[in-house]
Amino acid sequence: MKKEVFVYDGSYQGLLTALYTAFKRKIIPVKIIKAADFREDLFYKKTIIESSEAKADLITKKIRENISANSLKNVFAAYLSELEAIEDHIFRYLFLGFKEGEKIDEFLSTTAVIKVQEAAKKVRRESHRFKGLLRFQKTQGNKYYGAIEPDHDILILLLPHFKARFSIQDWLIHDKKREKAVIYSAAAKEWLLIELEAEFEPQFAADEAEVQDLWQSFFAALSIENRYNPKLQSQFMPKKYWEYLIEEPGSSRKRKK
Amino acid sequence: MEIKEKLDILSDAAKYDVSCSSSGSSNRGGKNSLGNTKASGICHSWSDDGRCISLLKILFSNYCIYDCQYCANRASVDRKRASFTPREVAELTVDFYKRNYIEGLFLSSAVTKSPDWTMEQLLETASLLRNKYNYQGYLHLKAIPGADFKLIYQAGLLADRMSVNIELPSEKSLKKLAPQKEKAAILKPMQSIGTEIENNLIERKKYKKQKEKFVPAGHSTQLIVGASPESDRSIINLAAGLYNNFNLKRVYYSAYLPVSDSSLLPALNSSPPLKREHRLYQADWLLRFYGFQADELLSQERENLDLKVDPKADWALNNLDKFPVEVNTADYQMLLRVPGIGPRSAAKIVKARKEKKLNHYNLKKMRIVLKRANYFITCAGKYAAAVPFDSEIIYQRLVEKEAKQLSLFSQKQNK
Ligand code: SF4
Repeated sequence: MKKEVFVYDGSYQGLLTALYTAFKRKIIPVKIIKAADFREDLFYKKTIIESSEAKADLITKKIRENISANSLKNVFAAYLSELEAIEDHIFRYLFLGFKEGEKIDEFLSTTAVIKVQEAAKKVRRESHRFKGLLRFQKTQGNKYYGAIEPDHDILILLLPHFKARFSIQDWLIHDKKREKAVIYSAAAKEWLLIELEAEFEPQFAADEAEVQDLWQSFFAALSIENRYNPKLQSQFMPKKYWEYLIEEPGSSRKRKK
Repeated sequence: MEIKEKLDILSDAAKYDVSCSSSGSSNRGGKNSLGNTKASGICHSWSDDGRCISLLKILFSNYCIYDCQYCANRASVDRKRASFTPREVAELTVDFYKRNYIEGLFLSSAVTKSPDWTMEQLLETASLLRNKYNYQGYLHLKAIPGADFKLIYQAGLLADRMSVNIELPSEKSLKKLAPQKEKAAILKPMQSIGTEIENNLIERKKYKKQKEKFVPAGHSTQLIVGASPESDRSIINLAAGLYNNFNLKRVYYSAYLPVSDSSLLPALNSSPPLKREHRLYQADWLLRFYGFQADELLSQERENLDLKVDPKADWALNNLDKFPVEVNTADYQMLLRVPGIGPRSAAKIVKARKEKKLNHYNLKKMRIVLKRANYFITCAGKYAAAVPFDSEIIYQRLVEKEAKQLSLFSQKQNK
């Protein structure tokens, strides 16, 4: 019999359903892959996974009870990493996890455990970074708009932080890379995940440029000239995150004396 | 004057104040207010000198009636001056906060008109922010020495953190370099803030949160290093005294950057003693988290920290009779004193050795870095460093290791 490749719709629920199916049928798929990344292949049998809420819930419960709540968090964060073949590592991680229980997170020399934990760590680190690096711009109509292009799919992890902090203003965080956004409404105290094309640009408020200008000059004035150290700066704040900053790294040297 | 020009002058004037940490806070903020404070602390950017930017750090005013020699804003210097209004500061803070540029505001000031007048301005700014703008983000206020404590107390009910800068580590230096300041006038508000923080905690326990919080994130101070001749020993002793007696959360150390051509101070072209500042931070760390006493680190025979190795290694080398320690039997406190072993590693060891006797390989697998520790430990009786157990030789090795790592040290001093 041909070995099977599981193809799922790319959603977290879809992945959980795929995992559920594998454990239920007691098989080890050669690969669990998103439909969008799947290439037809003669050697393997393709099994399409129909995303199912009930199955996803079931396996979620199993992971929490038979392994640990922490391990469930790792699985979700690792999924958000979108790293290549992470689904297969997640499968192996859980496969071992169901045998070993919560100890699994101490198996620090097992490849699947390392891969899942490292992916989860990357995701958490990036989402922590964006809590600081995200910049809102005020749009017409007093809504605050922020664009990001993160390596990992962290939008959903940013949500609780910004909801708690900016609960009395309307805002939107736009993941341009994945063409989606989360919108929050202060009046309703509710949020919504929507699709939003990369080209979307709002109209900014009349006084927005002025505030940005103030921030830029504060940023430039703050640096101590004889401790100038752009290398250290970009070590903490890699260049890939600069595009949506309002301030300009390096600008302290351009500042008029 | 345009707000932009003010911001330029008054942020430039504030940048030498090092305390920038916004962590350790108070769970302010609710569903109907703007902002909250995060215990973990968030950096929003890094300036061109590689420092974390988390707060809008500005002076309210740099008009000063005093003439402290080490200060760029002293009365006798000819430079650009500006003052904000409370409203301007409040609006700037809120505008920046809402755009996620900052965690909050750190507001200090020169002494304008009088200590009371200045403190009133800070208080009014805080009150606008908290009451008018419904702002619950982080707020650090300077307490102005010499101001009526009633004003300081009021401010403390609105702020997350307060600080009074001591600046010069001794009465003698204060007399010489800051003749209008008295040590007593600086220490008194610190002591009162410390006492009130404690009272507030007790009362809040009694009345179950009904009472307002007073300076919930604690208070701190700053010492300038290298402007005056005090030794590291007197600085560390002072810091230890402040931690023990005034309930202080942090002491910050700031290498003196020459800003004045006063003949009483290091020359304008001398460079700031960054390495020394770094060592002081390390020593301070040992006081707060490692159970060291000030007089263990330095003594009358040795007034200054070794600049080439860190204070913990230095202590170990001077107490080599206590080493090497056996990781399988040494108590937690002693493990903490091994160079290269921190609280986390020490705890891991204590836990793991209940299961089995640990060897070097086990430690490596537990991701405990042995590069430095190796010189000071045995595992199951084995000493694994490739050099004889001799203080001179180990010292040389540690110096070499450290020199390799130090290229970036000057910016890490604040961590
Ligand atoms: S009181 Fe403060 S601002 Fe004024 S000269 Fe002294 S240190 Fe500088």
